[in-house]
Amino acid sequence: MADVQALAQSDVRELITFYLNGGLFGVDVAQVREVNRLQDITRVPHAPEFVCGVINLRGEIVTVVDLRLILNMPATELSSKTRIVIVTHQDEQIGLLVDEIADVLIINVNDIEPIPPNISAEERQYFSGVCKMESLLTTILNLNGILT
Amino acid sequence: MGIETDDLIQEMVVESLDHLENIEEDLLTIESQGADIDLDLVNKVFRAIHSVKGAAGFCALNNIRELSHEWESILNLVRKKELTPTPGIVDIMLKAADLLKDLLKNVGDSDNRDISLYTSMLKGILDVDSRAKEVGPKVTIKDKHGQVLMEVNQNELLEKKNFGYFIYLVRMDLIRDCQDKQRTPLKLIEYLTSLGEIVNLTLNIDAIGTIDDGEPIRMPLDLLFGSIVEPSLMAAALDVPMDDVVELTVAGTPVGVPEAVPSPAAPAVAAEPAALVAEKSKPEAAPIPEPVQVIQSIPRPAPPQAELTPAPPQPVVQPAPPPPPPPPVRPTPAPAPPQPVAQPAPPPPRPAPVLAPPPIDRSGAVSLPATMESRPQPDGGDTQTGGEKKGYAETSVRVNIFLLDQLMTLAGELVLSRNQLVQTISSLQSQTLQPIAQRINLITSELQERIMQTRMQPIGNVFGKFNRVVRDLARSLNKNVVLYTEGHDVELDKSIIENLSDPLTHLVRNSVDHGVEVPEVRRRMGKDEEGRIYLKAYHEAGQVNIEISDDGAGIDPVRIKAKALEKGVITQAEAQGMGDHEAFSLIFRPGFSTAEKVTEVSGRGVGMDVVKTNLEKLGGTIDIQSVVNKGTTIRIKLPLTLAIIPSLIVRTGSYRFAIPQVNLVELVRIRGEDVAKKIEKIKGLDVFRLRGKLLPVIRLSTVLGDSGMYRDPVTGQLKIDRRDVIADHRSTPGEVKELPEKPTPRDATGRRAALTQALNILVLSAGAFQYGLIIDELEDSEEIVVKPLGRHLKDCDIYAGATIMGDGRVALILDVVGIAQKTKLVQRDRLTKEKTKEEARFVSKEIYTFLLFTNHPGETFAVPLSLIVRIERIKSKDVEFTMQKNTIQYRGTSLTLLFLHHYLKLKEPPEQDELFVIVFNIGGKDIGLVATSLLDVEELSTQIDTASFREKGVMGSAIINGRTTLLVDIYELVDVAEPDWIQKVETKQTDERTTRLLLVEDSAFFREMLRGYFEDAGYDVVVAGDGVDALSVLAGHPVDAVITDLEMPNMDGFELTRRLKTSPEYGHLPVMAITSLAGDEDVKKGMDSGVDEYHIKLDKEQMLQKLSDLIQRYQRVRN
Repeated sequence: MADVQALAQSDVRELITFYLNGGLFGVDVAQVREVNRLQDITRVPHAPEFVCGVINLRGEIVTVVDLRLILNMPATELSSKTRIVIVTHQDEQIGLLVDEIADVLIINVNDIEPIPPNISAEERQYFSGVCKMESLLTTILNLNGILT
Repeated sequence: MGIETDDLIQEMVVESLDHLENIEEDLLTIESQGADIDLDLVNKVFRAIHSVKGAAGFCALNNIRELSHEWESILNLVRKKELTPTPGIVDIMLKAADLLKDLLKNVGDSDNRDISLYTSMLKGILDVDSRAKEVGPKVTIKDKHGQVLMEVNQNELLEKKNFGYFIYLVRMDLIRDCQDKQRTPLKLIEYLTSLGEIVNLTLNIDAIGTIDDGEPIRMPLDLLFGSIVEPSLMAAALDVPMDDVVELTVAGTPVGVPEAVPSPAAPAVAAEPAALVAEKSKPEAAPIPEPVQVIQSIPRPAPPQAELTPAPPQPVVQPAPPPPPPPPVRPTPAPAPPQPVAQPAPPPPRPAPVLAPPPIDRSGAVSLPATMESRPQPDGGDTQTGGEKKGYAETSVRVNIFLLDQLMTLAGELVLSRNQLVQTISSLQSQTLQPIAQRINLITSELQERIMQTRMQPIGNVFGKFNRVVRDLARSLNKNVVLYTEGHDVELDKSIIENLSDPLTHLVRNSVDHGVEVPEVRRRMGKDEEGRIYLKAYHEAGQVNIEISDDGAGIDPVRIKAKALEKGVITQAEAQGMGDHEAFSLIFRPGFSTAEKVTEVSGRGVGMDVVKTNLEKLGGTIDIQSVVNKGTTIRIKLPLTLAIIPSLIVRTGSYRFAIPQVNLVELVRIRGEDVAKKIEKIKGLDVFRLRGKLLPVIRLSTVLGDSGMYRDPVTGQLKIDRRDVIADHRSTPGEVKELPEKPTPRDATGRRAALTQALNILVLSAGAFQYGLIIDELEDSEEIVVKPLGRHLKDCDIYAGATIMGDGRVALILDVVGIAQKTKLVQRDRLTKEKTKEEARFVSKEIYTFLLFTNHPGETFAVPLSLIVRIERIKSKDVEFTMQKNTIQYRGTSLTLLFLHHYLKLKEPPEQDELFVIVFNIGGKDIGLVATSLLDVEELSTQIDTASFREKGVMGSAIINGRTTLLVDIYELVDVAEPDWIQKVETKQTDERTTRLLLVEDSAFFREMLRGYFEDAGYDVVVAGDGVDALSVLAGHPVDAVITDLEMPNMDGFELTRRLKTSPEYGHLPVMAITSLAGDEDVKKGMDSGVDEYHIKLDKEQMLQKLSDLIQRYQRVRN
């Protein structure tokens, strides 16, 4: 019930959260088009390293990227929990490979804290903030930084 | 508001461009008809321009409006037959059309452009044509009391009317309408202009009341006002009493009854053509008794037959049978008889052809519409397609292209889903589902086809403009050329149509410029002075063919070849082996143009190669046929649509790719045992000999291979690409376990394995350049839907996009040109070509004869023929192996045999029964070099590559007949094989250790080789490149003997010898000539010039011996 009320307010954001290398990350729900199970990914030789390949998303060719590689983590290991989060970025659908989907999180903008200073400048562009909810720390991804 | 206006303007632009679409053709037709104008056609153009003007006025696009206005004035004169459309006038109109289109296309900027040049040109026509006479009759406008308010030019009223405006006489009151409403007169004017245009206005001073009158003060303002606002609404719009608004005819009298009683019920002015004409007869000024034609785009309730009969227009209300719709203008001289049967109730009476009052000429006969084009088009759209298609009711709507694209995509998806559905259902074996699946199947196919059709456009849209192109160009070249077009209604995908214009323009211009001869030449050739160019489109085998042919000079293959040779596009050898057809295709090579003079037309830096590339981008091909003095035909084949292209699906490793069929030249399969023989290596590049031509080949796996490995970001180690595993894991979940065992260095094993496997080579054409791509497996030929790749993959140049296969998976489409560039095949190709050219240049200079043979079938070797004593054929079983030597019993002695692969890094030859032994005599002893087969005796230039394959026993390599051939240095080989022999040779020269030689030789290769021989033999060697060089070297280096080549630049060996022998300083020096020339005449010439010894190059043994003898002889003489 509290959620519903929170939603009604404008300073509330909804995040889709997922795990990457054990950490919890989130993307604004408005940017997410859908979450898909793993399907055939066609590899693309000569593509940048972080590009896993392309998939057929209802007739559209969608590039799938390994988020973990972009975030300087070890490459994603595929499992039955692996999902492809389809986001819309600069008018293009892009698939993000994530270890596991966690939850949809409703947060108050006021709860978003700046990125801790110990994150390197290079990696800063990937994040737009962190959010502490109960015991969990969710890092909010900045798709602009990640996908461009 | 802003957005709305933008939308509005956009709409206006699209519509206006539509109107202008065929205008060039129409203008050209008008031109060709001269004074004998086709009124309907002129009217059509007039209407088009008029509509543009109207729309522009509405959108406040002043330049466009002004230009079309001026143009319209001219058309009006043409229409009235007061102005004959001469070529000059049409020229200006064509230019105006160009400008108008340009303005429309850049509509945002249109008002910033200076169009005064054009408007003044157009005005100029009017002036020149003595239109100085009054622009039209004056019309007096009176108010309802008969008081004359103002006088206006009737043309101004006509113009408004033509604009689609109603003309109103409005009486406003500055007191009532301004002061009382608290607005300034300026505001009022602004408001009025937002509703329409003010033609004229007067302030009625007389009517202003005075204070004395005590009446409410009035300040009447009479406005002559044009507006699209309808009469019933006008008063309300202006917020004035109904009585104060009077709608006028162009004659200045109130509409309807001749009485000035405006009434909302008054019929619209448009419905009053008769009144207009009637009134016209009594205008006060009326200087010209000609009938004024009022052009209206408003329906007139007269059935069309009215025009065909002298009878007056019939009333609409006619009992059955109602007038049938006229067949698309096939006028019959007599009134059409009522159409029999099969004619369902005709549509309601349609607008009559726009000629408002039937144009009646002197004789009273009725002029008949002459062409199809003159038929009124309700939508004003293109008339090109003509015929029944364009019904009289609106049959087409404007649809956003983006929407169509989306529909296309969805249809593609539907097809894929359908495929899966049908597959699944068929596996269910359900009786009830099967028929449904069948239906879905059919409907989907049909739907997809229909949606694709929505993107189709007639090629006539492109053809239309060529009349103009040909006319303009022919005029500027003083040629007489007529263009005939055919197949206007052949349809192609919109995207192809759009990109076809430029290549076709180029080809058509070429035909005019290079094809058709000037009239004098044509006359001399006995041809009609008028050149003809045919532009033809037709369907064939699921493709669209476009032919551009002319009856001009044709292309002379000999000249083409000569030109290509001169430009270095081909080599002499290539030219000789080239058929006519091949020669024609040379003009598509980059950097080739046959234009002898660079004209404005041909010298635009766009070559036929660009045309070809552009057409290939569209998935098309181009072919040329020509007969000298008869003409040239260029045939273009295009797919119907770009979105769906026929492709070959191939497989390499775990990948599946699509290769556009248009790039595919042929498929070659090499049997496993032939692979080594047919694939050679040149400078690390695999080449394949295809019918005598060398084709660089590359493995697709090599092209892709680089990403097979990746650098671990953490450890920095190279690892097998994890993604390989992923992909396989996903595609075949069952195989996960086996995958890690997959051989790691895929390439290495793959290649070795492939050596014994058959090879599939796709011969691909990347522009003018062809190469072979080795793939693992061929799958099917399929029509694929091209989809773009995302932006992260934009940098991968080897893909042209992706497609979705029937199984729903993605396959990448290979970009054939991209692959060639990525692998640098193109540059290498250029390199080998340059090399071949260089070789060709040397051919005439010095030629040595070599015997070519093979050891392993894939490897070719050469030895100088002059060194060979004899050649024997032996049985391989007779070869003995004793004392670490291979020998064979031969004429009672044992001949030592050398196998090349024992001394050089070569492949072991396959076992075979018979062998050849090439016998040399080295150090006085015979030695045999074993060859598996003898190929040929070849003459070879000195262009020898000494760098690539230099090793002990190999002098260097040369490309002979396109095959890399290693030149065997038999002395070195023997040195390696039988060190004792060479020792013997060398000891002979030990006493000459300090002897210094001057070696004069222009070929660096031989110079270095000979220097090596002499230095090995213990001589001190100084070198010179030619005779002149030699003399200067001699000045600084005292030598004991001179060894000179005979054929040299600057000063040859004969001359050098003569100089030396006759000089006091050097006369004592022994001179030995070494040469490839060995004719008796040369020997004599050499001896005449004073050569002491004469020797053939490459016979090291004998040469050293002779030299040693010679020096000793001279020393003896001196001592």
